[in-house]
Amino acid sequence: MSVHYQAVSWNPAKRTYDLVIAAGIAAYLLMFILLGIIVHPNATAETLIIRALGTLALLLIHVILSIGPLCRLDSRFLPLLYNRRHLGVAMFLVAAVHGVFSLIQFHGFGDVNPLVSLLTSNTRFSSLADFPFQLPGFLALIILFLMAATSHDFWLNTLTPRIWKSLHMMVYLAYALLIAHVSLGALQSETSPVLAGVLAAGLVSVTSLHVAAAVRERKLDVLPLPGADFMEVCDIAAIPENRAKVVTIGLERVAVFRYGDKISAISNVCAHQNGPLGEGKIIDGCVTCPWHGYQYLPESGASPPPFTEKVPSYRTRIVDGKVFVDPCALAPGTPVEPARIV
Amino acid sequence: MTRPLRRAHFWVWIALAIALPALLLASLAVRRTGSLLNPGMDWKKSK
Repeated sequence: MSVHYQAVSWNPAKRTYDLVIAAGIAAYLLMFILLGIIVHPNATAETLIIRALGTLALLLIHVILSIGPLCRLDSRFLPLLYNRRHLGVAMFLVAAVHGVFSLIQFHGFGDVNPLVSLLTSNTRFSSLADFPFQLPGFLALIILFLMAATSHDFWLNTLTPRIWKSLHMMVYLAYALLIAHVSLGALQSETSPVLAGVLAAGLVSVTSLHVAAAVRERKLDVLPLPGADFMEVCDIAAIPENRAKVVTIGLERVAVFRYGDKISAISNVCAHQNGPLGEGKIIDGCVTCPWHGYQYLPESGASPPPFTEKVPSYRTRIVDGKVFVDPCALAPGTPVEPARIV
Repeated sequence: MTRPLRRAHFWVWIALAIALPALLLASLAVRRTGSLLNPGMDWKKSK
């Protein structure tokens, strides 16, 4: 959260995160190439580099796609989410170098432009075994490039959160294209069961995590539609101090915060990247998003000056130790008198 | 996450959980068993 755009708002946590990414990438590439030399002594350096980068990119996209549902299922994984976009950019760079090496190795020595060769040299689309597998990899790389290029908050605000989120949800299409790229490419020539086994394990893990998290989220959404009156949402005692109880009212989720002798309710959806505000806590008097630390005043849903982010607020009431919330959301940033615990 | 996004995520992953394993299995099923594309060719002579 910053008032002005910076290339990267560095802090110790981000530096540590990026150092771990860089060290992990270097260690993987080194180990893969050394093992490759031992297991396949006749393989060329280019082949080993292409394979090392390709498998690393595949591993990284599995890690990246697992972070979201892991955080939904267990909040201990939240630190991984904090700087996930750097991991995404690193994954794109690894995949891009893999693509460039492959393009030179397999299409760079003819009399046709390598890109033209990539797009036209194999047109057997009707055959699974001979499918032009490099095309899905190329398309995935274009999506990953668009995501990496627009990963900065500047683009989030410029494109609007709706368009930005839609663009970045294309990572699922990129993932499907990468699975096709590997299944119809490397798996067709790789006779060892290791690659197929690892790919199947990764696929099952990622899809299981996402489906499990999605099913859990759907259960939270099953609540009656609100009437015009205040809705009873919980007992006061059900809300921990400086924390929230997340309730579903109508179509959206509301985070009901308790702080001191006050109760306030704001939208559960952070204005930055849709993070779950109700899973954050109140720090220095502000609701703090657990994803990237964006802050809002619980009484209004507005970020403290000079920040300008706002989320809708809700009227609250306490009757006989129970918390009631008006189901009608107020305009983002509207100040509301908190309900008082007597 | 807003409700429309949650629903989109749910259905996208249900679809992927069906389609991607099917694609992987199909690709393994059509995989060649290591026989050469030109079994009649004598590679030693070609050298």
